[in-house]
Amino acid sequence: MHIHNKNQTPGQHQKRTLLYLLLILLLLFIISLFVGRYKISFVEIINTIKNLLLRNDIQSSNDWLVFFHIRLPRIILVMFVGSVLSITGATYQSVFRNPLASPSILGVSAGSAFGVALAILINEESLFDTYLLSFLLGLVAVLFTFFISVWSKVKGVTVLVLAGMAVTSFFNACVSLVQYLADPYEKLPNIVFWLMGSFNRAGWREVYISLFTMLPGIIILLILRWYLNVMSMGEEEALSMGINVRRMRILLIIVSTVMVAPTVAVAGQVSWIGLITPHIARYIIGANHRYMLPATCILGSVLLLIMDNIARTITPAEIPISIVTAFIGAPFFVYLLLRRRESGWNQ
Amino acid sequence: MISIKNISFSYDTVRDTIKNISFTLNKGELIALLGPNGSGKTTILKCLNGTLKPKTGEIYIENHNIKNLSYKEIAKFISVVPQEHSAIFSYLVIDIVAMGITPYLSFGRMPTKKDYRTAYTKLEFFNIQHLAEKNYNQLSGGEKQLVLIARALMQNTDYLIMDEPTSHLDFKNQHLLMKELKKLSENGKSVITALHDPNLALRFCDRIIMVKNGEVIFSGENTKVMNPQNLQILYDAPVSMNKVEDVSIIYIN
Repeated sequence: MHIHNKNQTPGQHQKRTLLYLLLILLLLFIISLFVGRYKISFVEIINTIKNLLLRNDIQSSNDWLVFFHIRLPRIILVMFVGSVLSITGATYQSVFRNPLASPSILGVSAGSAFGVALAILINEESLFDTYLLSFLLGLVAVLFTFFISVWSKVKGVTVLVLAGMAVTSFFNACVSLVQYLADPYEKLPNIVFWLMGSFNRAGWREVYISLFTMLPGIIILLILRWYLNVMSMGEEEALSMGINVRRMRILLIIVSTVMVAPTVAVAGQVSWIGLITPHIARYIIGANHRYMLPATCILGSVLLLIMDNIARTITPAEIPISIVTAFIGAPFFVYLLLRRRESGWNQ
Repeated sequence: MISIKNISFSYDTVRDTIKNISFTLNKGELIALLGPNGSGKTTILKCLNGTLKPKTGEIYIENHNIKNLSYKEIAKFISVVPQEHSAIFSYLVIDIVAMGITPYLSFGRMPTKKDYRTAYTKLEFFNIQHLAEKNYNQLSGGEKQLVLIARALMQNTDYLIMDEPTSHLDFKNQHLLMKELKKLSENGKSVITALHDPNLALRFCDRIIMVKNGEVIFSGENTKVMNPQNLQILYDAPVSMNKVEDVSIIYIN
C-alpha cells in the first residue's frame, strides 16, 4: 500500500504495476498474432484493416484468413482461459484459506473432463454435446462435493476440500473407463489429446461461448474482491466483520465453477496456471486482493499466451498446452516454495 | 447496553456447554471473564457476537434482539479481537486495519482514501503508525495484537469482545495491552475479555464474571468478588492474596 504518512494516497505503486501488466499484455497480444508456423505479413494485415475501415472492397488473402479466423479468436480464447483459471485459482485459495488450492479443487475439472470424454465417445461431431456435457458434469461434480460436505458431521472447509479430492478421483476413474471403452484408433487419441489441453479448435464460436460464460464471472469476482481479503482471515473473523460467510462462500464457489467448466470444454484440462499465477501476482503486487485479483487476471492471460505461443511454435506439430504449462509451472512452483517468504503466503 | 438473558448453548446433545448465563455489559466498562480451561468463556463470547446461536435465552444489543440482526448489523455494534495469529497471506498492516471498515461498505465497494487515513490514525492511537507498511506476519505477538485491536477500532463499535488477548504475549506486553484496554474503556468503549491471569483482571478490570462448568458462579464489581475464597472455588486450587507495595497479588500456594 506504500503509505509513509496518512496524507499519502494509497495504492499508487500497485496501480502503476497494473498499468505495466496491461501494457505487457497488449504487447504480447500483438506479438502473438504474428507468431506461428504460418508466417503472416504485418503489412498485409495493416492494409486489410485499413481497407476495412475505409469500407473498400476486401480481397480476402490467405494471410487475412489465418489472421482473422484462426489466430485472433485463438489468442482471445487463450487470454480468457488464462484469466479465468488464474482468477478462480486466487478465489479458491482465499475462500478455502489454502495457498495450494486451484480450480480443480472441488472436482470441477475432473467432472468436466468426464463430460468431454463422454461426448467424444458418444458423438464426436457434436460440439454442442461436448460443451453441454462438460458443463453439466462439472456442475454435478461440484454438487457431489457440496452434498458430501453438507451430510458430513464434521463441518468446515477441510471437509469440502477432502470431498473434492474424493469426487475428483471418482471422475478421473470415469474418464479412464471411457478411455478404456473408446475405439483405440479413432476416439481414444481424440479424447487424450483434448484432455491434455489445446486451443487448436478455437474459433469465434468458442470466443462467444467464453464471452457469455466467463466474462460475467470475471466481472463478478472483481467486484467482490475486497471480501476475499476478509474471507481469507478465517470464518469467525469474517463473520465478526459483518460478512455472511456461508452465503458469500457459496456465491464465490458457484461463480467460479460456472467459469471453470467451459474452459475444459473449449481447451481441455490446462494444468498449473490456476495454481501458480496467484502466487506470482502476490509476489509482484502484494497480497491485497484489491490489486492482486486484477493483476492475477492480467497475468493469467500473459502467462497462458506465452505458453500457447511456445506450444504452437516449438515443434512442427502443435504440442498439448498442458505439457508446456506443467514443464514451466512445476519448476516455477518449486522456486516459489524455496522463496516462500517473498511469495506472499504464509503457511 | 448489551444484555444477556438466560442463554444456554450445547455443541452436542449430551450436555450444555453453557447454562443459563445472564449478565449485562454497560457502556465504558471493562469486564473480565475468568474461569478454568473448558469452562465456557469462549462459547459465551461467540454467542455474544452471533457466531454461535444460543439454544435458549435472548441477547439484546441496544434493545435489538440479536436474532433480528444481520451479521453486518451486529458488526456495527460489536467488534471481535481474535488472539494474535498469522494471516494466510502476507497482508500489509494498514490493509489489515482497513478491513475493519468492511461492515460499512455497500455491496462490492472498497475502502476509500479517507478510510485508509482513518486506519492510519487508529495505528497512531497505539503509537504503531511506523508499522503501517510492514508485513503483518512478520510482526511480534504484541504488535500483531495491537494491530488487531486497531482493526476493531476501525470497525468503530461501542463494544469490543476479546478472547484471551494476552495469552501469547510476554509479561511486559500483557500489561501494556491491558493498559490500552483500560484506556479504551475510559474513552467510552465497552470491553469484555476472557482472561487466564486473575492478577490482570484484578488490576485492570471494573467487573468480573467467574464461569465454571458453563455457569456463572460469581459476578460483580472487581473489589467485591476478587477474593481468595471465590477464586479457590473457581479454580479448585488453594489461592492466596497478598499486598506487595499496595498492589494485591494473587497466587496459588
